[in-house]
Amino acid sequence: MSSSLNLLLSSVLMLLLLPLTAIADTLPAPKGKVLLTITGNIKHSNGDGIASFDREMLEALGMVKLDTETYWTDGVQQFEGVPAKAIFELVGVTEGQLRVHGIDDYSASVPVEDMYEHRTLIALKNHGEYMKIRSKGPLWLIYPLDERQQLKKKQINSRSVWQLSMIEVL
Amino acid sequence: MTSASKTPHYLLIFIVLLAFGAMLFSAYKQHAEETDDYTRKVRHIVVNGYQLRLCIYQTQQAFDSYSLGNPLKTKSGVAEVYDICWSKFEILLKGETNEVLSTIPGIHEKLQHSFNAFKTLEPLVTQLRPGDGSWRAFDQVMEQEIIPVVLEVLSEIRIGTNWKQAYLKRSTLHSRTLVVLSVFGVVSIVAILILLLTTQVRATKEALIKAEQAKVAKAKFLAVAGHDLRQPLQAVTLLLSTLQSQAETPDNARLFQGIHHSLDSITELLNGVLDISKLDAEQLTVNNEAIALSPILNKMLDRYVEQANSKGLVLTLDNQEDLYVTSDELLLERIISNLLSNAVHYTHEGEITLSVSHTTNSASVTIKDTGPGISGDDQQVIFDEFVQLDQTRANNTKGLGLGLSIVKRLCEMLGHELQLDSEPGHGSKFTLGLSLAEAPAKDNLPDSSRAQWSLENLTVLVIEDDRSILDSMAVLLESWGCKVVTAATMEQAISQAKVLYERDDFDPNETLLISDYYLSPNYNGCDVIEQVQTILGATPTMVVTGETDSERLEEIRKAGHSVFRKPLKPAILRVAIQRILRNI
Repeated sequence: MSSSLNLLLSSVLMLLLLPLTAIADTLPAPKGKVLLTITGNIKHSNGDGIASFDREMLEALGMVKLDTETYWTDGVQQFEGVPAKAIFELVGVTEGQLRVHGIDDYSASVPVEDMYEHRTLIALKNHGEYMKIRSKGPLWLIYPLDERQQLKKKQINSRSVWQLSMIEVL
Repeated sequence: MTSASKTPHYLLIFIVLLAFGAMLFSAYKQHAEETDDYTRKVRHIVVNGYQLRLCIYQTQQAFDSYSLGNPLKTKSGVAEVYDICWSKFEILLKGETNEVLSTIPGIHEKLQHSFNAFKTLEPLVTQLRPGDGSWRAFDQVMEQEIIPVVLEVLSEIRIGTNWKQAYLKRSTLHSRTLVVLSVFGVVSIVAILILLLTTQVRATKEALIKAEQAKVAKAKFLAVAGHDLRQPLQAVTLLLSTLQSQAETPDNARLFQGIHHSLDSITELLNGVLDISKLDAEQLTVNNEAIALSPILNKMLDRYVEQANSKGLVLTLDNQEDLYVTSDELLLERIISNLLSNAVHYTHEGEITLSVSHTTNSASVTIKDTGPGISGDDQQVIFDEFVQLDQTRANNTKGLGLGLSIVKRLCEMLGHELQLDSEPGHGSKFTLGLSLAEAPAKDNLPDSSRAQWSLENLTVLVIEDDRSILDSMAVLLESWGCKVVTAATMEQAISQAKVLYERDDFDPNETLLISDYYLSPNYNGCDVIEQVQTILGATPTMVVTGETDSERLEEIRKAGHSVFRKPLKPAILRVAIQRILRNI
């Protein structure tokens, strides 16, 4: 008797809470395969404090092109992707520290400031093609190395996380 | 001219030095950056190399387990780890990583070969089904083509291998060359600078030595010239005295006095110039010994009393005791003489007192006058050369302003303290501080039997090569009642001595030998006296010379003779003779 009552109560609560959570979550839910997950201290999410993005959602933020050399490639690379700034504006993060994870278990500490100040790009394409894991995709955090010389060395190499899959906002 | 052309020279060197310094700084900075960059690259290679190995094992494990039908990962999971592995290969084979790694010969080829083998596994990964047994083929390629090569590469890049050092040297060649070049530049500029400076210092030193040599030469010249100047002065003085004794009348007495004063002035000037040039050339030698103060003071009194009296001044000596002090007799004489001369010169009325006082181990000689006095400011400068105060009155009288300068320098040489107390309008007091000395043992006491002041009955043998001096000396001595015998050469002196010795009234104690020092190139006054004394015995002796070299004078003195410098005034000669006879 009591267990069925509990079940009823919890169902009612669930029904009441659903519209509330729908109001808080301004982001649409991903439909396709999730490429990027943002967790941690974010303002806007699309499920349980997590913002997940599929390729369609990312591309909808507006693709830009960035031609640059990198430390790990030969010649000038022609990247296309979403400005990191657009993504962080969307989840309501303007300052703080990030931990950026790759699927190969690599992670790097990156200041949010870089996303706003340095025109960093979450690249999806290189040379007009979507990047696969073997070519350091599907996402690669790219810094415009050629434009600002002071970014070229030191930390930037360690912050350019390839095979990017998850960002933790600290 | 030289200094004007050398200043920009140094400025230029300095600018070049600065430029090299800046170059060194920037090269060093660049080198540090390159080294830093190198460290990161090498670390990147090592980390990715080990990650590749780990990844290969994970791929093999995932594939084999799936193929064996006991999957650890899903099929897409296997594909993912295979792809990650693929990307690791590419990291080592592309970009700057490859550039650095390629410094090890053959490493790129080995890795590429291994990567190609890895690529052939792709169909097996895409067609993988659980339990299909394809792991045998997969493992064969892995074990034979891939893993050994990757391990080999790892052993090549592991810590402790020297390829990294070689790469560092190659990649920092430019900055290192710059560092070496700029260090070389800085060192050579500094070397040039040191060379230039030492050259200049040497040149300065040489110039100083030359100047010093010139000074000595000047002093030597002045000493020789002074000696020659004294001869005629001596003759003039003696001749004048003779003439005065024969021709003085109340009318021309003032004229004679005037001529005597002028001669005194010339002598003083000559002595002053000679002394200062010797001091400049540091040619004076100091013979510190115990000397009796009283004879010197008496001599000084004799020298200046006449001059003081003629100016209407009273010159008194207050000397109660016979003190002995440590000093150089000739130089101390010069000091007191200059101070007295100064006092007589500047005092226009009143008195001058020469006094002596002493404590247990020191004595002081004080020269006090009632002159115009010296103001505090003037006291700072009166010891400088060519400084004369009281210009209005001094202008028309003698003097170069060297006297006090000589006094000061002689006092410094002898270590005597000189103190000046003076106030304008209250006269001046110069105090000379001396150290007391033990009295030397007297070997010959004064002969009290001799009549104290009379020169009657004295026989004088005068040896002098200058005829005019010889004659005037003879006239002068005879006018004092002496019996005079003259000789111009050693032979004459010896024959005269023999004649003297034969005489009945010969008494060695009543015989005086007066000789000039420079008589002939072959012998001097001392030699002649020595010869004459072998005949006559130990008679009193006196050497008169124009010599100014203090060492030579000392030598004569040490030979046992009283030494007097030319020109010698009759009054002084007379007192000197009396003192010698009285052994004072």
